[in-house]
Amino acid sequence: MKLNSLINLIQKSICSCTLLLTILNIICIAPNSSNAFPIYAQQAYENPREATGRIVCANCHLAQKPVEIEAPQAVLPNTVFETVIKIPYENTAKQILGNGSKGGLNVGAVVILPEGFKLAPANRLSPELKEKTKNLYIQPYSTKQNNILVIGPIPGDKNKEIVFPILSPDPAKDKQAHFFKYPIYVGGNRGRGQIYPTGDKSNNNLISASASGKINKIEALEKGGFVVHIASTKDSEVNQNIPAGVELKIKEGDNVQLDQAISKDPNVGGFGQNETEIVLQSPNRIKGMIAFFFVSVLAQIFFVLKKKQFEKVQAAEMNF
Amino acid sequence: MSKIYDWFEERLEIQAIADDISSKYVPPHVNIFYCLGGIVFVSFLIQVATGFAMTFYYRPTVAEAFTSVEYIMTDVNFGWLIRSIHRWSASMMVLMMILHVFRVYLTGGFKKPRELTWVTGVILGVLTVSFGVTGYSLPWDQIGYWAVKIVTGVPDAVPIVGESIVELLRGGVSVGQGTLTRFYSLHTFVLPLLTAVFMLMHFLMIRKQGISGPL
Repeated sequence: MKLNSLINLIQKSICSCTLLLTILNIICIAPNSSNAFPIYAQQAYENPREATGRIVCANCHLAQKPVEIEAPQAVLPNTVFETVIKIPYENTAKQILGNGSKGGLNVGAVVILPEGFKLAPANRLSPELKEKTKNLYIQPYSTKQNNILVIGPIPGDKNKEIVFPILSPDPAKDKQAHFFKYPIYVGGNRGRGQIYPTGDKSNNNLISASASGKINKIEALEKGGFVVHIASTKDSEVNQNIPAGVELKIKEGDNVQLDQAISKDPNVGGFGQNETEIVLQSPNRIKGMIAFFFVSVLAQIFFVLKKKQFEKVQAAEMNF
Repeated sequence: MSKIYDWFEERLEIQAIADDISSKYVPPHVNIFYCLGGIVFVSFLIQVATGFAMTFYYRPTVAEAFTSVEYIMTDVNFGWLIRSIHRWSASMMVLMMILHVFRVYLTGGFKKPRELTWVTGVILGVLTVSFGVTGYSLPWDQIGYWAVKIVTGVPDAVPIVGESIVELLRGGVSVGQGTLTRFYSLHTFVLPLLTAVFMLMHFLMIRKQGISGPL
């Protein structure tokens, strides 16, 4: 027993340590490694969905890729249900990282629920749902808007389908909630972005020539990356620094034009958004509808029976 | 009771009307498909009743239309039921009307001497579809807005007069408040009136000529 409880204690402390580390990781370390970041959006935008319907992630994740959402057609009040966001990409895809090396893609997602809907608390989750969401750290977008959920960046190879456990509101308790059909908007992203919130470009971009002219020399640097010497038309040389990990499309002696692409586009990821509808359904309305259908069918059956009976009477009278 | 009856009988000869109603027999070839026209009529009555109820709360302005519909669906007592019935019954009416047209066509109900009944029926069909088009855009939601934009743009393809027709439908060059006002007026005033007139003609002709014969 003692051994058991000791093991239990160790397990618990490991668990809490990992959790703490994860949070620390998300808060401190991760932004420096410049991955896909909902936190950038959370800092910069009060509402992630602009008036035009565009989700703000698209401001930095410039490529467009598909995203799918699976949600129930209708839910009952005060019920936990799951919404699945699918962010498909090819398993073999590798992206350029901040330091120029190649690595796997991360994914992230934002789910904009109707007001009143929120992330299901852990104690309401069924064991299966717990299992499905155990590695996911989903947070509300902000303290004011707990109907908007964000997650990411998380490794994409295991999380191409992200399950969001959601709790529906109860109009009986919450006067703001109504039985109604609501839209759900989702955005999903894979891979790093192209622009930082500061406006700087990331290295996950197509690089274009900074001047027109002939390429005199491509100098490979020790720590990775290149310096491209472009002889511009006026006998002066323009040196263009190319960050590490970029594959150049040009070679020495080539002529380039200003803004001509001189590297392959390293971006394999992209952002997509989608929407669906969900009905917050009253159980009483369903019961009422079933009762109405039942009464209607019964009435029709009785009409037919009465008609048959009357026809028999008619037939009998004719025989007299 | 009989006093009241006598009073009316003396002035309006209601016995004749009562005799007319009770003297018609349903011929044996009439089957359940002959009910379809009646179902369309019942749907119409439901539409009139529920639509009338909704005019109490609906506001036909671009700024308030959607919120007023939301208000009907959430806050008004049984507003959700009234509007849902209006919505479903509208689809039901169109569906039943199409089936009724099939029945009439397949049983030859349009043949001499009932050509005029058929003609008024076709006009009623056009009116019903117009009800659908105008009603669809009244909530002024995304789907309604784009529907009205596309539908009112269709006559643009007509040479010479096309542009004028579009402007007439929209109440302006582009879709806006003018369009919503027009559609609301058509949906709640013009179309019901015309429909009532043509329905009366349709029914009076049927009463006069009786149900069409067996195949």
